[in-house]
Formats: sequence, C-alpha cells, structure tokens
Amino acid sequence: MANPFRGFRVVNAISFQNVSKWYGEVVALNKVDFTIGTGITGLLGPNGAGKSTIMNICTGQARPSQGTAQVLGESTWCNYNLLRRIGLCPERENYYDDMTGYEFVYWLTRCAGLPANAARKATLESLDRVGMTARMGDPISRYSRGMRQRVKLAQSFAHGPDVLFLDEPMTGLDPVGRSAVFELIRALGKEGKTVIVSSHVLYEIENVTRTIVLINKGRVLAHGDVHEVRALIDAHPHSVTVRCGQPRKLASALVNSPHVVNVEFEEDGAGVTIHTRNANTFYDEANALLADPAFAVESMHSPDDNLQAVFEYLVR
Amino acid sequence: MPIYDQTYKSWETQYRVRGRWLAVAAQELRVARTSPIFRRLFLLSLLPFLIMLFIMVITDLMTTNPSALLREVVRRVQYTNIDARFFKIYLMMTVPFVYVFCLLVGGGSICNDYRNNLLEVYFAKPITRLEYFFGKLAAVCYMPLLLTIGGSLVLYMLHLITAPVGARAFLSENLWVAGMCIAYSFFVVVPSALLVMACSAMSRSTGWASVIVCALIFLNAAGANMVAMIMRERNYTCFAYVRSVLHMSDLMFGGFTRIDVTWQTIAIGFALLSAICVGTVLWRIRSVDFAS
Repeated sequence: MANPFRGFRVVNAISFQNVSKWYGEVVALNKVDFTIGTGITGLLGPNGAGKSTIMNICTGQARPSQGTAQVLGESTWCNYNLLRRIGLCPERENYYDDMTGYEFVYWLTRCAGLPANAARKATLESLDRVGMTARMGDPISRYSRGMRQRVKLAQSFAHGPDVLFLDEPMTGLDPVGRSAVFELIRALGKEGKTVIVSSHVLYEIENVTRTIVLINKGRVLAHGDVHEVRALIDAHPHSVTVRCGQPRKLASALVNSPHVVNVEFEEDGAGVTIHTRNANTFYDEANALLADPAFAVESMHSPDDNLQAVFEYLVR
Repeated sequence: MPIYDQTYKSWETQYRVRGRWLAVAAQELRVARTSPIFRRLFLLSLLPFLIMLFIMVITDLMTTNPSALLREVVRRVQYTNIDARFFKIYLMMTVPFVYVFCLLVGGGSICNDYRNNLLEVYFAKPITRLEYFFGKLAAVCYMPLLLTIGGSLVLYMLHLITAPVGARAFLSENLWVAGMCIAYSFFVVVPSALLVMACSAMSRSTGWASVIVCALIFLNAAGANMVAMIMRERNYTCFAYVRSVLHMSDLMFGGFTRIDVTWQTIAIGFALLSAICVGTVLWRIRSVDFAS
C-alpha cells in the first residue's frame, strides 16, 4: 500500500539551533536551543530575559548573530513568503491614534497581501472574535488600553497565519478582557495554529497552556510540560501541604519517612507542609497514610505544582 | 495536556504578491487626508490652476471674439499667450505647494511610524523594505504630481479644445511642452519628496523634519551664494537647490537665464542628491532593530 504521507516533511513549528543574538556588547540570546510543536506554548521569563528577541527573530525582524532559527521549517530572515504565515502582536503600542480600529486592522491585512474584499471580510471576522465589532468605527484615540490591546490582537491573526506570536498579549486588559483573550488563545490553539504567548506573568501562561519555554538572561532554563519541568528539579524539595484535624500526629507519622526532608506547621495550626525530594514515592506513601480517618484530612495540595514555583526555582 | 489539531489551516483567498506598496501608499494618504490642514491646502493649491484656467479661457474666447478692441487688449496684456511660458508660469506657481505638500505628507511619513512603533507591525507582514519605501514615496509624490502633471495636462487638453488657431496647429508647435511639463514635474517633485523623507527618517517628529528641510534649503542657498561671491562666479549659485529648480525651468521651457550651467549638470546634481536621500531612508529602515 502506498504511503499517503510520502513526500511530506515533518517540521517543528519553531526550531532554534544554537541561536545567539547580541547588540554590540549586550548578549540578548546565548546559544538558545529549542523546538516548539503545534499548539500553545508559553515563553516565560522576567523582563529583559530575551523573549522579545526570540519573537523578533521568529518574525524576521532581527537576524540571529549566530545559529539557525527556523519557523515552519524555513529560515526567518528576509523570508517574505514565510511572513504570510506568521502573525505578530507586539508588546509595544503601535497605532495612528486618528485611525479607527477597523482601518488599522484592514490596512495591515492588506499589507499582509489579502485582496480588498478578503481583507474586509477577514477584518470584520477578527474584530468580531476579539469583541470589538461595536466600537470598530471609533478612532483608536478613544479606546481604552484593553480595547487597543484587543485591536492589536485582531490584526495579528486577521490574515489567517499558521503561527502566532503574542508578546505580552494580556497587558492592560481587565479581568473580563483577560478571560476573553485566554479563551481566544485557547480557541486559536484548537484550530491548529501554533501560538507562542510570551509573558512574565505566570498566571497568564498557566491559563492557556502547560507547555513552557523558560528563559532568563538570554538562556533557556527549561522547556517542556510544566509538570515535567518541575519533576526535573531535584535540587529543590517538592512541597505538599495537608490541612487536617491532627497535623502534629500526621507530622510525626511522616517525619520518619526516608523521602521527607523536613516538616513545617502552618501558622494557623490546622495544617502541615511536608518537603520531599521524591514526590512520586511520597504521594504513594501519603495516600495510604492519609486514608486513615483519624487524621481527618480536609485537603491536600502542592504549592510547588505551578509555574510560579518552577519559575522561582529556576530563576533563583 | 490537551491534544491539538495537527493540521494547519490556510486562508482560503489568494495572497497578492505584487502591489503591496500600494497598500502602504494608500494608508499613508489616508492618514494625510484626515488632517484639516491638508484639506485646506488642497483647496488653496487649486488656486493657480483656476487662475491659469481663467486666463486661458478668457484669452481663447476673446481671441476668437470678433470685437477687435477686446482682441487688441488681450494681445497687449502679458502672459496671455498660451505657449511654453504659460505652462512654465503655471508650474512655477505650483512649486511652493509642491514643497508644502511634500512637507505635510512626507514630514511624518517615516518618523511617525518610528514613533508609533508601526515599523514593527509593518515588517512583521510580508512587506519588503523596498515596498515600504516605494509606498511612502508614492504617497508623498501623489498630491504634488497631481497638481503639477495633472494640472498642466488638463490645461493643455482644455486649450486643445478651445484653441482659436486649432488643435492641430497648437499640437504641432507645442507638443514638446506636454513632455516638458511631465519631465519638469518629476524633476521638481521626486527629489523634494526624497529630501523630505530622508529628513523624516532622521528626525523624531513631523515638525522637526520640516525644520530640518527648511534649514537645509536655507543653508544651501546661503552657502551657494557665498561660494559664488568668493569665487566671483555666478554659475556657482546653481549649487542652491531652489536656484537650480528655477534655472532648470528656464532651460526646459525657454527663458532668460542668468547662469550658464547645462541641464545635464543640474540633473546629475539632483540625481546625486536623490541617491543620498534614498540611501539615508533605506539605511534608517534597514537599521531598525526592534529588540534593541
């Protein structure tokens, strides 16, 4: 039987091989190596970590000083055919204030190469998706910061790109707006687009994806599922907080376990935080122990099992 | 972890490969059109055309009028002969508007994009630096060329219709004038637009760009006159931009010239100036490094 995929080439959406970028004596990226597949990926790092530089290299606006950067299997520098398949929502504000939201998205969609009718249709659709249809005829100068952000988002995907780069897309949005944008990013991911969301706010990334690339000082600190990344951090004990009726009794039962590093009581005396170096084995043991009704367990959670903890551990 | 659809979706319509510079030009013109000064200036710039049209129509009508007295009056009044000098006068009247339009549209063409971070979004689209440059140049040249080429050719055509001596005779004598009107319009407009764009690329705002252009023209004129005085040679005044523009009109349309410099020399000078301006603009556009 003939192979139906013969002739097809499997490519990563984004591939950085040994990429460095420097501006004079300032090193923005230092031998960065990673690959990103389809779906949503969070580009995480503090300000000045190199997130925007990665985005600029991916969108062909900066040339790597060293190494190879590819998007959809093609080099990014001066590759105008590739740019058709890319959308960018930059971090900075980019508008003519006297322009309406509709005009802003329409003209940029025309610049992306869509004919007038298709651009009109695409503009209306994208503005509708970001909830700006009602105000699209108003000048941008009358928009709130959140509305400006949404218009900026609309222009990034109006021309139907395959890969979307959203640089700090939640900046300036109120909680309702944030929630809508989270939903939009998730929907774009489900449609088959590769969405790269950069942020230094961990909560924002957590809301849209579990796949992260963690960057600090121009280097990739970690890459992968946040749980996997967390599991790799052996140097830092994993914390588990158990709230129960008998915290002292529970602490004395757990402290002898070879996997427990130390135990701390909660300030209100109604819980205990256990630090372990082997989370999986500990959970097996704890599950058997906590099944005893004598401990009157109310809840168990891990404060380390989120991006904040991963971020703090790795950036520290 | 969610499992996403692994297929890429593409936009169903056709992408345009050529003519994206038109989108940049149209966008730039749209921005300029929203300015009330632009609209007022446009109305004001119609004044030379209307004046010349009035003179032309009156001249043509009165020359064909059987009243000998009126015919004699028109014949004696200066500037009423519809010939090369008539079109030269029209173009000379529009030159100030050309500069003002160039400053108004071109002064902010590059620096406003810089200031508003628009280069970042432009160049994230499949627009080359050259397409961007030509789009901006087209936008800056549009109104001045409309005024000079459009105005002079409309006058030319109208005279063909109303010419008392007949269209054929006028055409045989003055066909070259239409070509000269087009050539001179490009000669005046394109270098001016490029100069303004270069100043815009090197400055932070429309105001500063305009100040730089005016200062350059003033200093250039002063410098050229000083050189001419020191060297005791009047021909050196052709180093002055405005002087060259005027001298070129004399050479192209015929007229009394006070300096003895060939059109080739002036054309080379303007080509050099244009090349420097193009280089400056492209260098500024290419050197944009958004991450820095």
